[in-house]
Amino acid sequence: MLRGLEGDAPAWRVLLSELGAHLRPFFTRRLFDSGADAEDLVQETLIAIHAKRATWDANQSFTGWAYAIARHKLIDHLRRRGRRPTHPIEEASDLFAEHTVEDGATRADLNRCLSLLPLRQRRLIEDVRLRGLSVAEAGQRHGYTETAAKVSIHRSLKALSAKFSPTHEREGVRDED
Amino acid sequence: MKTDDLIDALSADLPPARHLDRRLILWMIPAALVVLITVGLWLGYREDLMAAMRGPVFWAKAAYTIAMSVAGFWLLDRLGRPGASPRAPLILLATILVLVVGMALYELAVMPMPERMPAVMGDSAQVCAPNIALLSLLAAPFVFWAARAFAPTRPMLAGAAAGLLTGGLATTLYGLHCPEHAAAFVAVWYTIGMAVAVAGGALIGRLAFRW
Repeated sequence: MLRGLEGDAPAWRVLLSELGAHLRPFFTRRLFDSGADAEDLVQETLIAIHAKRATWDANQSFTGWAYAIARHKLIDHLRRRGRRPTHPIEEASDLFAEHTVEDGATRADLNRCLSLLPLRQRRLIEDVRLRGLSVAEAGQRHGYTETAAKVSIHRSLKALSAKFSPTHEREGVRDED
Repeated sequence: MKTDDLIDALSADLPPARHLDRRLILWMIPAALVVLITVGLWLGYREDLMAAMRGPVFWAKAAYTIAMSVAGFWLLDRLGRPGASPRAPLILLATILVLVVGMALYELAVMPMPERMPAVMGDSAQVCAPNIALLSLLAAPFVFWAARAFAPTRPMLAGAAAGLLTGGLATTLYGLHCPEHAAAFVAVWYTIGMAVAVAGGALIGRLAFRW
């Protein structure tokens, strides 16, 4: 650091590289999300450390100084990000539940599987396994007694399992759970 | 841009670091000159300036305002360096204020009752603080420009410190005009004038000290 302040470029280079290596995990640990933001922050901090190197006082701890700058950049970043439109955390679970790509794909697969069943059986399965109605309620809606409904569901699942090859069997069951 | 390339670019451009304190002091010179000239042209120096400079009151006032300016300088120097503690200059600032308020209260206490209010109000209570605030405003661009080389992690506080430095400087030179001599007057009106400078400085700092 001292040599860097006097204009020793190779020494300064080593210092910045080592700082970069320490800052990367520092930011990654505190950001929780993408690595891209962390890398941006590493760069911003290195620029700030370079531009403001005269603010380091030789009586002061160097790491204390460098991390104070890193924290300042982190807080700045979080504030800026905070200003972008966000959704309250209560809504986030809805967003994740309804809109992920994976979910859509699963749903499409599921619909395709279920469409192989006769309509009445299909509705029954959907009500019990997807909408979360009890077997008795669902049975009533579709004109089954509770026992008949249970048997129907069991048969439908068995038929579906048989339809798909053994490797798909377990996945199919899990989807419907 | 890859981080390694960035590091290469940065270390290729490495002039020796400047001394920030020296830079700040250098910029205080034009600030002081502007205030000095303004006091001379606009307000006029006090007519008994030469006589007053031989007495203790003039220097006591100057000691107070210079001490405030020094506290502001020191505080800015701490707040402008990431990770440095502003504790010592804050203690200095508190000590100065306690001393001055103590002196003013003592002076008022030993004074007969009817003289107390006139001592506090002097002849220029109404214009004192606004004048100080205006003179501070003239000095502020130089000080804040120089202070931008610092890296304050708390811009508002650092702005307040720069405001104190500026206010102390302006008030010291205002003492060349102001003929008031009561400690109570100084403790109230000079302090309010500098407080306005501190508040203004905090607002400016919030905008000016981004990095």
